[in-house]
Amino acid sequence: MTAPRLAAIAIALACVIAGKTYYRHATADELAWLLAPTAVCVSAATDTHFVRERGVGYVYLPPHGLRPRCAPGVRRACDRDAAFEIVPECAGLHFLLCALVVLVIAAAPASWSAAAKSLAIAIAGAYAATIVVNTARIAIAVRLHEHAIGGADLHRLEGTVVYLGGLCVLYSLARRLYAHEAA
Amino acid sequence: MRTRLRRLAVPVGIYLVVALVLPIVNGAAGRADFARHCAGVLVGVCAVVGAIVAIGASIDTALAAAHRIANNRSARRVSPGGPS
Repeated sequence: MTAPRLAAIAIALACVIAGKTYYRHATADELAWLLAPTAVCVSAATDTHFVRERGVGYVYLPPHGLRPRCAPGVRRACDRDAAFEIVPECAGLHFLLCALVVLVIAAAPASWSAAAKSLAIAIAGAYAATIVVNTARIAIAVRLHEHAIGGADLHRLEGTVVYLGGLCVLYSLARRLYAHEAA
Repeated sequence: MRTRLRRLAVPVGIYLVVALVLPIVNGAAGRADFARHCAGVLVGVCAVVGAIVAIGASIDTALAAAHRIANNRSARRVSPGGPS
């Protein structure tokens, strides 16, 4: 393994540790850079309208009122009338950190300039992939909820399947793109 | 299949580290709902890996069958005495 590749992976891993520390204490307002575009995309994908609520995140109040939803691990969602909330736990920062490392490993930079370029591409790609995959995950959860299917366990399982599936697709696409570029 | 599993090792490994190992290192293992979280993650990982391996194997089988059919057709086109 070359030094630039090792350095790029080390920087990505440092970003993971820093990101996890940041995420543990981040509020909905601090995570607006992830929550806001996700809420816009979910609103468009599911024909709903999520609106920002300070300190909570993004809330969708359906006109006819659905059964209040208890998001897994989010106690405050239970005692609210909101049908669906996109809270900090739904931001997808864990996926963003995974995607960042996966894209850096797939790039396998051979030189220092390539390492810097692949890190920049990985950051932008991981952010875009997070919005897309998280939108898909929340849109599926909204549809399941509208049809009164599942609970906290299904929501958790759906999250794992969508996130890991998205990560595998992202890694496969990145490997092909970088192999095509090298050829 | 081994190649496919080796390729899956990177995303699956990273996902497991971020979803399970780092929370355990940070002391989340003592939380009441952590066992359910672990179970959900492990079932989800098995489901995704199983689905990718199954879909990949189906595609490989279909491609092998298509190649066999194509080879049989081209073999039939060659006359018994060889090309004139």
